[in-house]
Amino acid sequence: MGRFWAIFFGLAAVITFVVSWISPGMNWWFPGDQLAHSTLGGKIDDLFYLTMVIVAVTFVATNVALVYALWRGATIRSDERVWFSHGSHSLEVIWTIVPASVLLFIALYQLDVWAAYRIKGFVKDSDGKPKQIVAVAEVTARQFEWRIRYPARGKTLQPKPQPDDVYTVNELHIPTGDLVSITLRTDDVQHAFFIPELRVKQDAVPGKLIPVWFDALETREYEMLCAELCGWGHYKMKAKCVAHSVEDFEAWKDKASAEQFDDGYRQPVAE
Amino acid sequence: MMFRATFLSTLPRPSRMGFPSVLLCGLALFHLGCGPGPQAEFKFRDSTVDLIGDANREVKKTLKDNFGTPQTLVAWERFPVEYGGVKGAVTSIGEDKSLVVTVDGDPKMIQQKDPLIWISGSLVGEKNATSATVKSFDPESKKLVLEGAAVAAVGDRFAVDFGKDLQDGRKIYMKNCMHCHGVSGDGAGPTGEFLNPRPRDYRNGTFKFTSTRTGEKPNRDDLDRIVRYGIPGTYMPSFLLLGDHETAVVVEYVRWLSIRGEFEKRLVAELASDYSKTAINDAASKAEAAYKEKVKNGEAAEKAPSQSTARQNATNEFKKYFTEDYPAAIEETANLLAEYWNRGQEAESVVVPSVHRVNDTPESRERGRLLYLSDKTKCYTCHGVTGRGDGSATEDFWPKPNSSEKFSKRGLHDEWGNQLKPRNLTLGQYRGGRRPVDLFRRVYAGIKGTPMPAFGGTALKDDEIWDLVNYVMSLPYTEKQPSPAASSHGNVAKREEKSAH
Amino acid sequence: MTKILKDSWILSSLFLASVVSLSGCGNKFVGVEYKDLSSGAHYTPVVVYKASSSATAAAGATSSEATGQEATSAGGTGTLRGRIELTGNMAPLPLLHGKGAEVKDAAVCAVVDIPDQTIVTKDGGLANVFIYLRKPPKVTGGNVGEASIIFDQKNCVFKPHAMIMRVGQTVKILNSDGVAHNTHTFGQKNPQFNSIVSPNDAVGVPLIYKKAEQDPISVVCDIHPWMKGYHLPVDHPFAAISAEDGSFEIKDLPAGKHEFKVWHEAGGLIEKALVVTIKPGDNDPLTVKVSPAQLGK
Repeated sequence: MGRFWAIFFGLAAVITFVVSWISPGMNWWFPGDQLAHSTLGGKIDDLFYLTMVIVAVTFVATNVALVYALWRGATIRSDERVWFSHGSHSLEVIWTIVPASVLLFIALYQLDVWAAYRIKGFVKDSDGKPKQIVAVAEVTARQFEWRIRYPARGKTLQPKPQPDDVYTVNELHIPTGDLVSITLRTDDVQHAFFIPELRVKQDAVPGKLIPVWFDALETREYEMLCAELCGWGHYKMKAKCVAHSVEDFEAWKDKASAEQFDDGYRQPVAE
Repeated sequence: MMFRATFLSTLPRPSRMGFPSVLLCGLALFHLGCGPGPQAEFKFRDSTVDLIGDANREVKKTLKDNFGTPQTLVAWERFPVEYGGVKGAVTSIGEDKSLVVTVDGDPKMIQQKDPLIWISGSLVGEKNATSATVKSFDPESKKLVLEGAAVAAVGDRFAVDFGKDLQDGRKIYMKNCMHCHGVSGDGAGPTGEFLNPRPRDYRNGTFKFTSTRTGEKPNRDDLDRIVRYGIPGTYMPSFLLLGDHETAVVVEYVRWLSIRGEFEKRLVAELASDYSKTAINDAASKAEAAYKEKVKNGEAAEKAPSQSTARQNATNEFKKYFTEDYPAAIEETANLLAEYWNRGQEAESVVVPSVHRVNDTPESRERGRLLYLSDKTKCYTCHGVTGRGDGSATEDFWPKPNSSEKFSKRGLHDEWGNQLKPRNLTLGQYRGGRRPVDLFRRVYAGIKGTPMPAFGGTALKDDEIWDLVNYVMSLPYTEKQPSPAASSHGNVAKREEKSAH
Repeated sequence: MTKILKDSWILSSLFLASVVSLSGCGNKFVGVEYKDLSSGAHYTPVVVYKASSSATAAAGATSSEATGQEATSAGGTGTLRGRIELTGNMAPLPLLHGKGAEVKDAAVCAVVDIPDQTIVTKDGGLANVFIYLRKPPKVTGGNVGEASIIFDQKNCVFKPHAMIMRVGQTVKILNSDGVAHNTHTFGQKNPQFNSIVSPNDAVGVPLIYKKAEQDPISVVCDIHPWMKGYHLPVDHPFAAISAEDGSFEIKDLPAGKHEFKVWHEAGGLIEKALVVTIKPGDNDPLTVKVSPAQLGK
């Protein structure tokens, strides 16, 4: 019976390891095609993998020890004496200091990534100057949709709505290339702005205007979701984030602005 | 510990299970609550339920025959609803029982295994009983081979995949819309009661934010816009991610629900004055009062029939009405609805400005402001002198339509009986759309179902409306003026007169 | 472990049973497939085809022509005169508002005393009572009212207070006041008419009712809450409104039995089906007695 349990736990550990190994290849791991489509997001992925490796090593080590202990306990002969350990101070010290230093390492290692997301000007370009962040829109989350306000072409985003601002619903358009930032706010309850494929997530808190910056590497549509339970419609609070090239972005904004200021007059068709 | 052991040992055996027995009971109860789940039903109006027995039953039967139940929808062709599928007619029959047909729509839509029903000719079934499945169809030669033995005649008409769009529309509606708008489109779904403003009750056939003229139904574009972009300031969200086809079919289903609801409303309105319990009881009590009055005056008078006699009389009358006039009433109601919805879809019904928007200059805005405050338009009575929606109309008690009573709450009401505040124009939140043409349409054609009247074509010319639109669109960005402090009508009138100059 | 299992065998067998029964849980709502739940999004309803024209339609059309009144009889036509009498005493209604009252647009709307027109009586007669045929006959030919009629608003009062018009006839809504009025009708069969009428508009905004209404419908102004009027669009000429002294006259009624409705705004339907036999030529005057109790007073 004891052997059975030893094998059982050993097998469980092996299966866990194998499944985790093949997950990215089977598209079970990250959303979409398993890749972060942004530079900042790439850093998150790196952190993920680093933690994975560290944890994997620890997992394997501890499971080997567990299986060994179980097996040894199962196969011990009745006439062998059980050895009673009186504790080992050095062992206690070792297995406190080693995990603590590993965790400390992780904590310090991730500070860069945290700062990249949280401190404006921390992300620097190749010249060593802070990378430019383009304020592209104000995103207002409300039950159960996203209302987005852009400044007109050539203008900067103002905190107060301007007469020529362009408005969309459930469609966030951004240019690729530079870091773009949005001002996140909410009309009613807490929501969370979440674009999984760009690895950006930020809670929208009532009463606050929160800047969120990220970048998109490819010109395609990304899924945008709400990640904070906000009511009965939370599950369908989906939108799309459309990344354009810079020229296409300007062209889109012109088109959207023209549609928004459409006065409905149509030339009468000549008979 | 000791006590518990001795106590437990005195109890009958099963109770000694303790915690497991509690869990056991819990699991049993968990299973008791589970059943087959709720089935959807179309709700009937209060006025339908108010009809006397026979009338009540006949109206419900008519609705069931002509519109069906949520499980079996009846697609009545006379209404302008795109039920889906493609129609055609048989032009000739080959020896191998294959048919050569003409197709009214896109021939590529006829695919193998699609269901086919006959809609005219000898093979028409009572309830689509005789139908067939497409075995093969060649779009070039238009040769159609069907499974099954029945052979059609030349000239027979058929429909392939009939009702597909209505089915799809219903599915999308039940998934996304039913919880607010209700199974019958009455705005009384489970979440509807928590919302302010209430979800639209389609059964009046009135939709507020349209591009059509005053008194007309909305066209498909209007409803499509609402579904696509939502209504800011309300709980109607944007369903942008639904996709074009899904949006189109759910709009058709909403139109169908609206037609069904309005059909019920109008049919019952025909019958209500004679065959509703309220009207009969009312008439009986009035006759009673008149009889008593006559007796008091010493005149000869017939004893008025009691309420139950009056109801019995009405039931007998209804039998006669049912055979003679009821079919005509159904016809008339259906014709009316088809006519109105068809007209709403026409290009002439759409409000199109005859001039470009007047340039948004300070002069234009000033003209608009003067118009807003003038006696010609009286915008300020509802929308307030500063555009905050706090005009004097919000303090009056308004009469109920077609009644001698007044609403019990102060302020304006919409046709669904809900209190309605005039729009606060300083917020920059426009429910029907923020494009200049949307605002133009609100002023030109008014907002159906609300006290917002139509100004276009009669009171204001198009460029005057543009001035007004320019002023209204500038309101959210101008310095906010304090509202007039006094709320009595006299003071506001004086202040309004002053600012009109 | 086995001891626990032995002791709680009921518990564990029930647990196993629920596991088994809920095992289909991916697409089931305990035993019922999701696609069978008709309130759900996965349910595919059956769609039944119904053709536009059906047997009932044809039957309905012919039967309605056959019925209606015995209108086209060969017996000639008669005139119905009569009077609506208000029996009993009634205290006169207080003014809606007096001259100089503090109402909206007082400069225009409070220049004279405005009486309450809900109940208007003179010499014992009741005014503004609608008398009309209960079942409209199918009348062929006859005057469909090419001339337009006027519905005016002066001193913030509708003039006339009650009006009958023919279907298709143009009603010109005038405004003889210096302020705008927002005329809003609440038709049951007709769409609502809701339009601003400019101040001092002598040309008028045209209103055309396309369908006949069953009973009179109300007309209000969405700017001045006290303004009230009543319209009854009919597609036959056999309707009248009682004058101030209660008298009315309906001409050219086909001889025979007719059922009339008598309607007043305060009392509603006073008579639902008043049977009157019309002889050719003049008929005995018809007196309809209305008591203040019937008007809610």
